[in-house]
Amino acid sequence: MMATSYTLLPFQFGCFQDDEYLIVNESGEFLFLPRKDVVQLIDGTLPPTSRFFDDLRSKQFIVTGDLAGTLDMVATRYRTRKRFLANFTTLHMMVLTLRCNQDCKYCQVSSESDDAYDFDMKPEVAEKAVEIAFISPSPVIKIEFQGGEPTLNWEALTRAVMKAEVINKRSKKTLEFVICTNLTNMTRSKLEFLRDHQVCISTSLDGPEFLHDNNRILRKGGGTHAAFIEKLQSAISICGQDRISALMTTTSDNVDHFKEVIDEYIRLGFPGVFFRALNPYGLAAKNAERLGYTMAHFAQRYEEALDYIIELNLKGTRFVEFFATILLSRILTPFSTGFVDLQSPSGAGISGVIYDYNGDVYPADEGRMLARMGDRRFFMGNIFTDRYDAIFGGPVLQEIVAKSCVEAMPGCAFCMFRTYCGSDPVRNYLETGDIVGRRPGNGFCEKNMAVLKILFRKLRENDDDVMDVFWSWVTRRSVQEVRNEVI
Amino acid sequence: MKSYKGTPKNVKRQITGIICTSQHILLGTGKVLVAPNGIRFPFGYRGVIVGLEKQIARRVPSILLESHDISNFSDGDCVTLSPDGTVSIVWESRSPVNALFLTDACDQRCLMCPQPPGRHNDKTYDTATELLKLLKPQQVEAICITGGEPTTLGGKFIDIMTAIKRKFDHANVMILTNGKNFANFRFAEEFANIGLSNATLCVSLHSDIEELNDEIAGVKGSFHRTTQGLYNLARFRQRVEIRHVISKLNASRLEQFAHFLYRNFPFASHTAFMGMEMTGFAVTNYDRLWIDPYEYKYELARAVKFLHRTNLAVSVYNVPLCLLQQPMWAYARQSISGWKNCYLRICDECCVREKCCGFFSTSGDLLSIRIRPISHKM
Amino acid sequence: MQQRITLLANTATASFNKEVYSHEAVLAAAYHLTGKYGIEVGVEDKDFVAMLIPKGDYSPTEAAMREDLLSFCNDVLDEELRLKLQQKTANLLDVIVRHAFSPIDLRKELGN
Repeated sequence: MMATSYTLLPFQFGCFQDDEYLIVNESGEFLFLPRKDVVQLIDGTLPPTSRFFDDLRSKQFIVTGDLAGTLDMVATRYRTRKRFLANFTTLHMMVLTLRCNQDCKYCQVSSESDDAYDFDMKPEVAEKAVEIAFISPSPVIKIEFQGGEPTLNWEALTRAVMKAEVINKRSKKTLEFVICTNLTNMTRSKLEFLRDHQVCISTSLDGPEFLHDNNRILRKGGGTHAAFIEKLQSAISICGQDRISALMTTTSDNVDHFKEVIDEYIRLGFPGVFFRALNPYGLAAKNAERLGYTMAHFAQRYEEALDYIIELNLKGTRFVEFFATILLSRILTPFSTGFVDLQSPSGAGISGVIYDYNGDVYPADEGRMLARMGDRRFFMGNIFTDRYDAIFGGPVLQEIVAKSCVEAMPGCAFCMFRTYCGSDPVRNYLETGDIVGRRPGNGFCEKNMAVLKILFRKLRENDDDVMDVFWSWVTRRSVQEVRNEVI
Repeated sequence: MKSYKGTPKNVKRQITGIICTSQHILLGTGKVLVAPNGIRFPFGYRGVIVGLEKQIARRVPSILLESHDISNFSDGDCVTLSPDGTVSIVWESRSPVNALFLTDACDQRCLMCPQPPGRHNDKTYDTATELLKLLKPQQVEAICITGGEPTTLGGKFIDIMTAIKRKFDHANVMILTNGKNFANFRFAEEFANIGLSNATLCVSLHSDIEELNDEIAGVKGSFHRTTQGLYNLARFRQRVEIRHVISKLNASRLEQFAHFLYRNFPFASHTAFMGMEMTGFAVTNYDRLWIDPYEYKYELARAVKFLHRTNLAVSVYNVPLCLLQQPMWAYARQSISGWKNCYLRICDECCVREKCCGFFSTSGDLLSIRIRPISHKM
Repeated sequence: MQQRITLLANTATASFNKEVYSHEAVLAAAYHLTGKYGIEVGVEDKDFVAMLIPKGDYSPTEAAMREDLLSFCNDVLDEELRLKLQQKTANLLDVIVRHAFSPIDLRKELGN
């Protein structure tokens, strides 16, 4: 079978390490190639005898046969990866209150003081927001209660949950609830309510006490770790470990102690962790100098943490790093991953929205905070005064969509990781005054590229043990099941 | 299927009937009696198979078989009696799976085809229809629809599948196909609308490289038509399985093929990697195709390991355990139809013979040189 | 000499012969460094000239600046490659995305 010429299909490429380049295409496939082969490939002179030729055809980088047939396959895969668009808005976040019993040093949500009660969401507003949420065509509706500390506005929460359940009797969608809580204010009766209505608990744990209590402190002073542990045990016994997850926020205090953080999470029975880098605005920006660290530093520690976690998995402790899992799903599987923070077009507004105390709708919490500070750039509409299509089909969302497709953004369009990445238009606006933003010097880009590089280095090594662990995360099974060693 | 040659009497055209080995008072229609000692008054039977020549009432069709052949029939088997004296068992009541042949016609010319295609003969289709009429629902656990390429029958394929839906919807129905005719959206829709509850389309695909696939399939354009067929079946949420017959032409790309399958057809519920049956075209094209399965055992293990990692079901068919890496034994199945399944003498010494699929009797001596009994249970 | 690079005090300069390099490639490569440098690209005789001045908190040693400059030069070569690839495949990307969301007759489309 001699093919003397081929048609190039679109792909991105970049220098990966030394002489080796990484090429990635619209089908989501990737290949490592020496630079000279990349040059020949693009030149049109790569010979059919090249050891890469067949893989390039199989993975839809080049076509020697039926172009239309192959394009249909590529388009099918592209559409599959963008499936999250079809569901439109799945995540509906509600800011029930700005009040909080804690005063964490990196908190973005400026917790108000005396007039704080004015910014509590009234139950009627919460109910109306739930009604609006159900208009979304998504077959899954996920309602997330945020704050401040949402348990402080318990009436609005319970009314919203009830309202959603009533509406869902008719709508029959998959209904999920999440409460983002620090747990330190939790009571038994509240936990019972959360259990009875299958509300998942998303909490924050920055590590063992000496790390956690550096930044996560009570408003009246003092650490929260001990109280957190106590309440966590209650929550586990009432709601079940399965319904509780935790995330950590990386600061200069714990960035060099990821191992201790992991050990603490495992000790408390969490199935995994999400290593979140600091967001540079809100309250955090004020403390940025003390709390901050470079992305390069974060990346180095993250890699060490990942290696440690992989080792634990291989020794028999199942523990997942959730950010890596999302990226690995994008790289290794053909499926769409609904991760609002890193989508193209941006998830902000399409996949997830946030409702403020008065019914104002924003694409992300940062958009809401901007409005609070006087800039209503991201105000999408109000659930009482505007119709659904004016809010969700209005100019704010349209502009975000038009300007947040990485395929057409400077610095992203030709990035080798583009297929797997996404954008954060609100953050871009905060940092540069422009929702398109720039990539060089952009911390969000730097972090994502660093993590992707770490993961691709592992994929390049293709160590069977590491790949077994990665697939166990992606397919939600144990390593033994992935290896077919279960008796 | 098993066939026996005998001496026909009064068999004017092909007869299809269900075997009964003793005379009943309450008969039912469509029966063929097996009478080793002959019979004088076989009234009510469609036909008789006899072991001794005795005077038979003139009008009843009969075939005289050798005594060692006549013992091969069981109650509930379905046979055809042909004017040339052939008795064929088209349905074995004791076999969990039976093949339903619809046609000899095929729209591909696969290099390794063990059953070279021919012109469609309506007799084949009619036998199949008659068989479905004769079988009782409780007799049927699994049906394997095959040919040639069953979908070349178009509307008649839909008709027979509809008949199966009506009478045998509880059964596990496997349809062996190259999938190309499902590239026609309307046809795929018609099939889906039948609404079979337990049907799987077993679609064969030969390579992740278009040109190599088409070379093996013998028809240009096969790769993309099969792809479109698979897409349409997925659109209609039909259960699909991919079958990959391994030959020298594609053995070096097993792992890449597995990647390709997962990325392009992740909706497939199962994949089967299959060793060749060395008969028919496989023999004609021996030089291009033959590879000792022992030579590809490493690549096969990588391919299977990969698919298992992705959580897709995967099996290995037609490769004996001694030619597989030991971790692959968990994926090897009893894949060879009873009537053409055999073992070698040396297999008597093998401690895993019970679990092993053995060999195709039709492959004759075109077998691996590495076959050996496994001496220790691992 | 087709290309000249110079390091002076706090400025790095590289020239690219217009007959060999395209201005799009030079600009695209320059863009990648705008996080660390302020960059001006101009024309001098037969060359494009890019001038890089470290900005903000970035105070590189001479060795570091040299590394950046050499990277920049190699980057321009990669950008030339990207341009070539773009020329050959940009239309196909459009077709793929359009077809993905609203199926078109691919054979007809490609025939044009």
